[in-house]
Amino acid sequence: MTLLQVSDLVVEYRTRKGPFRAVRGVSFDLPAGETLALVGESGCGKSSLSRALMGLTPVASGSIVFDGRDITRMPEGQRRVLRRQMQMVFQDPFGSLNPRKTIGAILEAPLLAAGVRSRAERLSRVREMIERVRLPLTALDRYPHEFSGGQRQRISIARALILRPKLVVCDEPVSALDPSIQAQILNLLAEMKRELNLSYLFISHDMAVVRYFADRVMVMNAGQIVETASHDSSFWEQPSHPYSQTLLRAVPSLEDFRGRGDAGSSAG
Amino acid sequence: MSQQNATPVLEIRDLVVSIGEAEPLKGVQLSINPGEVHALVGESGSGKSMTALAAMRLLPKQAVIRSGQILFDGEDIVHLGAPQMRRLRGARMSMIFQEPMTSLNPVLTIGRQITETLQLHLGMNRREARARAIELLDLVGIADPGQRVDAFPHQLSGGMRQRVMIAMAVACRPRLLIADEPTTALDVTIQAQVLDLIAALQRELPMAVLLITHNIAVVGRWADRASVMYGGRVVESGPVGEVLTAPAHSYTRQLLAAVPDVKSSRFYRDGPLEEIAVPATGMPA
Repeated sequence: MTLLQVSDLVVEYRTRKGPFRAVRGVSFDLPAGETLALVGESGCGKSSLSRALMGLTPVASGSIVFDGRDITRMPEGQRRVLRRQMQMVFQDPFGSLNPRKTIGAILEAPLLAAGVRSRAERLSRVREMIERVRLPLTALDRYPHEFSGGQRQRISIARALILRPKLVVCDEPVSALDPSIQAQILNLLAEMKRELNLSYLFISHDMAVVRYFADRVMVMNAGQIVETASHDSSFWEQPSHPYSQTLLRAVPSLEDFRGRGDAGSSAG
Repeated sequence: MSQQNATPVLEIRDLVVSIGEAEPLKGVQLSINPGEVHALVGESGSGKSMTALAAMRLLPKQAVIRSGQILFDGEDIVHLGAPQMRRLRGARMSMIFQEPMTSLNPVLTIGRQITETLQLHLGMNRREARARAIELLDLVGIADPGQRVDAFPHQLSGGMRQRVMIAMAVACRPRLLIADEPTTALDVTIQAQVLDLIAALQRELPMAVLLITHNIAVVGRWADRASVMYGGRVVESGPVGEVLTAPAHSYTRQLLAAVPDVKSSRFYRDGPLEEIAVPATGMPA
């Protein structure tokens, strides 16, 4: 089943020099249960695309169909209901957590907004979720600044999942984390996906993480998807688009040092 | 390439640094040979940036060097006075940081910022310094250096600013360049260009480079030797091939297993990444 279907999507911004087309006719399907990665460098349009999917920026043309419903130009009231099904996890968990609220209040807020009236039910769902992301119940009475970067990312994952969404857009969720913490968060995301039947749109610039974590990868350059490939395709050894080739060549690998020693081999 | 018998450019012996009750450096040992790219690998709080700042004698005011030696070209600089350190820094040792905007002066042209160093340390006059600044911008791969020399930092892209920082850092042909996460904020293609540039300059000038990074794959491609830091100590040190293929310390082994690699077909559906067993803090990090 296709969970998300994007067709010929165009996003434009008005600038002093006239309209700037950030997303230039993007089409893709995200089947339920898949992790689909979107990779590309600064300014390629990947953030504009994810903002358009979340209804945070207007769409110039094209369509977005989510779970069988056209949401391209859905009014804000209906969007809000739908947003329970589509959540986001950001790169900087500190910037996205209100510093004045306890973790308990942060996790309870989406339930209140969704109209869960029973306080007992809200509390039990908050407790269940904090345990799922492997934080102790005592975390609920504390504030965001009392946690490390990795712990804050666990909290923002808990917040994104508490309404049981179908799709989670992960925007560089491990980019700001140390390697050991990165592994823990990727493992947590994989476990949550399995247990809660999630689908991920995984936005990243880290090709090594994407190779491990994505069922399929889309390479975006200058507002367009230039290549799409699955995890087990030959893309990783022999990408076909020139831009994908440049991108993959630039990524260092632990294998690289084996070929070193001869002069100039380090030049990418 | 490294010359094993030469006096190290930088040798840090048993360096202990404390800040209040905390001891961020607990006896650091580090030796960098002339002409090598030496990677210092570790995670936040491991002490890698603190080690670099100590080597430059740029530790924060609250930090106290409790014991140990920092030998630069064989001379202990731990007790060197501020004026002597200023003469060393920027001339014989220099440093570049992750975010070039914090180190570039936004109201001065990039040419002015490079010529300042040249006039101060090498005693050049304005005309000589400007000509050399243009040469340096050319050396670091900035197109149209004659025009760009009069540009302000905000007129340049992130990658170009990092090139300007490098031009400033190598202006006086230092013996040692310390690069603290120089490419963490950059896109991968720009990262590769900047690290290729540092490697090329290292051979051309030549100089030693201390490359501080949390990215173990960067070490594989661009460094000759590597030291791994954990908990305020260097836990292992050696040629890159050895450290990456036959790591002696369990932390290094765990780090290598925890990090996905672009040339590995490891897949999340086949099983989780091995997590690093960090000392218990009562909560997962």
